[in-house]
Amino acid sequence: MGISRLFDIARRSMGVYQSALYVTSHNIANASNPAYSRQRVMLGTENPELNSGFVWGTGVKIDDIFRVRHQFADAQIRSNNQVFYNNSQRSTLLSQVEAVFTEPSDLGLGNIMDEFFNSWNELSVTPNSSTLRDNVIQSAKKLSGKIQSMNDDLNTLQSGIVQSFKDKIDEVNNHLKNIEMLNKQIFEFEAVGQNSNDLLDKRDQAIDELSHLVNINVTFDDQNTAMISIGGVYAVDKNYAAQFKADAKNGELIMKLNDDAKVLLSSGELGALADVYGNKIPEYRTKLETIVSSLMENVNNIHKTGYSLGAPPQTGINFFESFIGGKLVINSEILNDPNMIAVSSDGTNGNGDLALQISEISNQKLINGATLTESYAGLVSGIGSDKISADNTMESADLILTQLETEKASVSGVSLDEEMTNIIKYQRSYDASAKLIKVADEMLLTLLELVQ
Amino acid sequence: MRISDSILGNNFIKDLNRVKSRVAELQVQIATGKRLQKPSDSPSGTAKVIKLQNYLNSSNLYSKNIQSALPFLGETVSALDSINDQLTKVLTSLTELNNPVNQSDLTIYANQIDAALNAIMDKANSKYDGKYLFGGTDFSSEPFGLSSDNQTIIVKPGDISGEHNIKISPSILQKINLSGTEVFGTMIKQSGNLDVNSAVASVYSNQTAVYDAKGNEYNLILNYTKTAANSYDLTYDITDTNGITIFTAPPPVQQLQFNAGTGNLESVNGNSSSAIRITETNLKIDFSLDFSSLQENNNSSSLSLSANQDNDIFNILLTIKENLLAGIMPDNDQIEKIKNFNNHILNKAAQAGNIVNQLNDTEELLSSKKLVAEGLISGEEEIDVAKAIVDLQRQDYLLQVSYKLSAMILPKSILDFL
Repeated sequence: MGISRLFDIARRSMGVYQSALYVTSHNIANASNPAYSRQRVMLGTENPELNSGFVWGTGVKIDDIFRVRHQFADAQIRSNNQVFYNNSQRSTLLSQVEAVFTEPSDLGLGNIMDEFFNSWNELSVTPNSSTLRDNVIQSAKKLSGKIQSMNDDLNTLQSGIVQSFKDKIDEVNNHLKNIEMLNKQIFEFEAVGQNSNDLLDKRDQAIDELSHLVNINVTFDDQNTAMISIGGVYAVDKNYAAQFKADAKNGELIMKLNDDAKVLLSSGELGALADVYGNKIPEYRTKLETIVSSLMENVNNIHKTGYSLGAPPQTGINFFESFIGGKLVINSEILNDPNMIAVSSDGTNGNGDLALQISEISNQKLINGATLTESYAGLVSGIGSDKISADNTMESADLILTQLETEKASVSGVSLDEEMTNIIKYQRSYDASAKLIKVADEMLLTLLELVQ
Repeated sequence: MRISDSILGNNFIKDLNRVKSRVAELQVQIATGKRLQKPSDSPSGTAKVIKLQNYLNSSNLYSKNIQSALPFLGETVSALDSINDQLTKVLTSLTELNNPVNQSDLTIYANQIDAALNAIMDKANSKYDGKYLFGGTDFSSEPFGLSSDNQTIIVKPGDISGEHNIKISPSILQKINLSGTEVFGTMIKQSGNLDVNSAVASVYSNQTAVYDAKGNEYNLILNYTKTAANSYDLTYDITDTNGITIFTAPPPVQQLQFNAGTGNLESVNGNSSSAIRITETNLKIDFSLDFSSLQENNNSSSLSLSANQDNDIFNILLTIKENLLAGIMPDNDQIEKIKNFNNHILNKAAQAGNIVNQLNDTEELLSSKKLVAEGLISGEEEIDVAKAIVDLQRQDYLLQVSYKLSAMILPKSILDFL
């Protein structure tokens, strides 16, 4: 066994520690990259040699450079992402719905309905007063204006939802393409035994972002290819990426591949958009329309039996013409001539019995045992409760996510202290190896001097 | 646990955001003074505020109604007072007439009575806020005026019996006018009972004396014919003192419908009003028949009729005036009628006064109820400023500590010591 063996071992060792420093510097460089998983150099001994009846160590080598990853936390984070982003999106949308209702305030529908009924009550005191008749018309206009603006606002909100639904499906499609490509690259790297750590990180990040948007199911095969299905529809592997389309039909938002493969949206931001668009807003709208229809019907039923002012007094007049498509239309004859308001029960011009009866509508239990105001208050508090329940679910998912991310960061995150310590360790090993070469050189020199 | 650099950073940012969002929330609450900005701040609180606001709005309305009714009633009372003054003057003049010294020139007294009559007519036709005080619900023309032949004073438009009702609480409807019929008209009240067990086609009759504008006496005969359970047809005739029919109920017959349960009268001719007006222009007969006290129950049938006055005050005064001009002295019967009417007016004035009192009481009650509702709303909606500020200070302290701590810890690493 020659001295040259010392050179071999020392040279190899210097190379190994240099590489270890490369990995450390990669770690330090990515310390602030949230998608990055720290990498570790796994050192191993070189294959030993049998010589003169002894087994001799031949130095160090790099067994593997692997990324430190918490696989269980990954899956958990993905499923909590779906819940968190679903409820966060839902909460944002519901707070927009809340803004439409402008309650509690003087500008809310509750107060405007009160004003409407109160104007009738005032009219009953002096039924032939043109000021009070104008007052009724003004308050009815205000009511109809408010209902229409609420309806318009809900429509705007819904069209905004459709747009962002489409945008988010585009995002899903981009992620899917990206994942397909990464799957392919990872497969190619691994097939030739190469290290694909950074590609794996990129793919994990893409899958995480996909889980913000929609409910996904992820599995990995033997070749480490990620296969994802979205709401029951197969979406991606290493040779295929689905491209989804958005469709708004019959008051529903649908994400589909084609007509036979529709995605069952249950979570993620897309789930929230589809649910608020297709269920929540229509539910609120229906409740609001029930209240307005009942108001219109009851006012008209009484108003029809009354007599207007003027000679001869007319009867059979509807106060509201129609309530279609969120528009409460006041009878144009009444708008043109306040005297057409028919509140006299017997045709005399000082009789305001029907005005009183109309104002009484506000006290009648018209909708499932509740007055108009009560059921409106129920509707508004229902929206508030829906928002709170989304907020609460979002907060609890957020707490779990924080915990999981801390766990993940604890395992995968870069610690500069640790890396610096490693640098010192590797540097010292490198120094020592270099020193070994010097020692071997001196030994060789000693031998050479003997020859002289 | 292994602590990586991102853990410290992320935790700091999360905690900082939590404190800051609380600070932002408190800041908005203090700036607006309101705890409820949107329904999700407190769904049940929002519902409560909407309902309380509804209650408050209606209470305000009831106050407004009372405020507009009070001057109307004030006018009514003052009109009745003036009428009372005029009637007292008339009675004084008529007493003076008993002295033979004063009987030499009856024209002076006729003029005095004419002046009083005009003053009373004027008051009876007075208006407040576009509404005739005694015109019922018909404001199209003055309620009282001379007939076309200038012989008598008649009610001009169709109906002066209408009531003005205002809401002064969710359940109380207060009548705030005294109708023309009530004050000046002749009301014949039908009271008594119809036997519920009587057979269909049974007929019940009742009669009383009625007078025309000139004071001539006639006889009113009412016939109730049972047509079905709880249902009766009413026909009526007016005969002169010789028993000759001079007026018969015009078709259609009046149908009276009683409530099977309570026995109270439910409708007359399908109308919820329980009175009908009988006028015969040529004979100058004009009175209202009020059925509101008529009942149908298990007791045997018994009917009676009574009138608030035989003849209206305008035509009595007109007759006295014309008689004086013709040299005829008023008789005791006529003076008695004026005295009775004066008492009637005093009663009505008292009735109006009572309504005013009730409205004032209700108004006071409403103010205290409004105060309670406002208190409840502010309790639900408004913040406790002191508490919010203390809370804000605490959050501010937490924020500062958190900044300080992070400034101390976050920039440090082993590099500082190598």
